[in-house]
Amino acid sequence: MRILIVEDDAALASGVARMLEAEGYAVDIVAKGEQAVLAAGQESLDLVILDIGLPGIDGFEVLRRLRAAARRMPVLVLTARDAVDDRVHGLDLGADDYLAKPFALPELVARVRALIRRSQARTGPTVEHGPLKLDTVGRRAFLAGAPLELGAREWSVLEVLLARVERIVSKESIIQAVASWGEELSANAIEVYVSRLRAKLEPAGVRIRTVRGFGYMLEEFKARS
Amino acid sequence: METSLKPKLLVVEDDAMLAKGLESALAKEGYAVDWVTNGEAALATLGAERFDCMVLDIGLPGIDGFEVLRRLRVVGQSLPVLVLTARDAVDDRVHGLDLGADDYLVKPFALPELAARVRALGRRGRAPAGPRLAHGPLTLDTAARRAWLDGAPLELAAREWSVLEVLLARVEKIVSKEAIIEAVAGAGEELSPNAIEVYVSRLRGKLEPSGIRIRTVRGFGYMLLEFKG
Repeated sequence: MRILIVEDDAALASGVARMLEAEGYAVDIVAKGEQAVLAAGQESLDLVILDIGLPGIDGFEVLRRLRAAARRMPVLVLTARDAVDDRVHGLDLGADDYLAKPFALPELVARVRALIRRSQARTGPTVEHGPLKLDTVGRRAFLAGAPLELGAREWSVLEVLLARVERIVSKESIIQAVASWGEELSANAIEVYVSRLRAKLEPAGVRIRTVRGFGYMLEEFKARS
Repeated sequence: METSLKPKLLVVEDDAMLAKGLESALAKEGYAVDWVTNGEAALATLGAERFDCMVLDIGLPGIDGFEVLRRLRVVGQSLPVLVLTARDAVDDRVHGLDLGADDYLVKPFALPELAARVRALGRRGRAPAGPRLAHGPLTLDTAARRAWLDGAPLELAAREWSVLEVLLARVEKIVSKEAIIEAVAGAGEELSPNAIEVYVSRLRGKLEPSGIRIRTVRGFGYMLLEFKG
C-alpha cells in the first residue's frame, strides 16, 4: 500500500511518514501542490494525506484537480484550518476525511486504515483467504490458526496479492506498492519475497502461481479433498 | 447506475432531542431517515432492511455502539458507519475506527460538518464499483451490496441477499438447504430449513416476474436456473 504525503512542514511530514512506515506502508513526501498533482498522475497511489496551506497552489486546488482528473484514491485532508466552513468545503471538494491539526498520530493512522479498508471494499480489520488470516490492525498473520511470522516486505507483497485474488499482478505493480521513492527494488527482490511466501503458505494449500514474463497470481483457495 | 430512491440513513441515538435535530437536518439533505434508540433495535433494523449509511452513538442503553459495530462487521454488513459520540479520547477514536467505523465525529459537532461527512461516506460507498454479478436482468454489486433488476434498484433484506448470493454462485447446480444455512447463519445462530423456504419464496416473489427462476429440488434444496430471455 502506497501513500503520498503532501506537506510543507518537513518535520511533521517525516514524523507521519515514520509512523506509517512502521505500519508497513510505502510512503512518499512532496512539499508542493504541483508536485502532488504530478505524482498522483504518474504513480499508483492508495491514499493521499493532504495539507491545505501549501506554497503555490493550495490543498483545495490539488484536491479539485485530482478529482477533475478522475483520480479516485482516498484523500485525507490534514490541516490547521479547522473552521467548519473549511471542513465542509474540503469534504465537498472530494476529500474522504478531514482531520484538523493538532492531531494524535494514532488517530491519523486509524483513519488511514479505515480509508484503505473501505477503498478495498473490505468491512472489517481482518482479511481471510482459506486457512490464512491477516489482522491488518495488529499486523499479525495466522495460518490454520497458528501465528505466522512474516517479514515486513513479505507482508506487503502478500497484501497486494490478497487484494487481487485470481487476478494477475505484475511485478512492476508489486514494486510500486511496496517500495518508497528513492528506494531501488529489483524484480529479483520480489521473486525472493514471493518464494519465501510460497515456502510458508504452500504447505497449507495457499498457492501463488507464476505468470511467466509478467507477474504473479494468488489462486483461489480450494480445500484439498 | 443511479437509483431514483432517496438514500436511506439509520440514526442510532438515545438522546431524543439530538436525534430529532439530526433527523430533520438530514431529511433536508435528501435522506430518508429512520431512527432507533438502542443497539438491539439497530441490529434488528439492519437485518431486515438495507440502509446506505448509519450514524451511530456509542453510549446507548443495552449493548453499546462499539458492540453494534462489531456484530455488524462480523456478519459482513458493509454499510458505511459514522460514529457520533461524546467519547472523545484518542483510544476511543482508534477503537471505533479499527472496529470498522468509516468515520468518527465527536460531540459537540456542527451539523454542516456532519452532513458533509455523510455525503463523503455516500460517495465513498459508491465510487469503487465492486465486483458485479450479473444473471439475466439481475445485477448485484457485491461490495456495495446493491441489487438491480431490469435496471431498477431492487430492495433485498440482508438474509434474502445472502441466500441469493449463494444460489448465484452455483447457477444450474443444486444447493442443499444445509449449505444455504451454513452460508447464511451467523455462528451460534439457529436457522431452520423453514426459514430458508421463507427467504426463497420472498426471492421468488421479487425475481420471477422478470423471468428468473429458482427451482425446488424436493427433499434436497434449490437450484437457480440458467436465465433464458
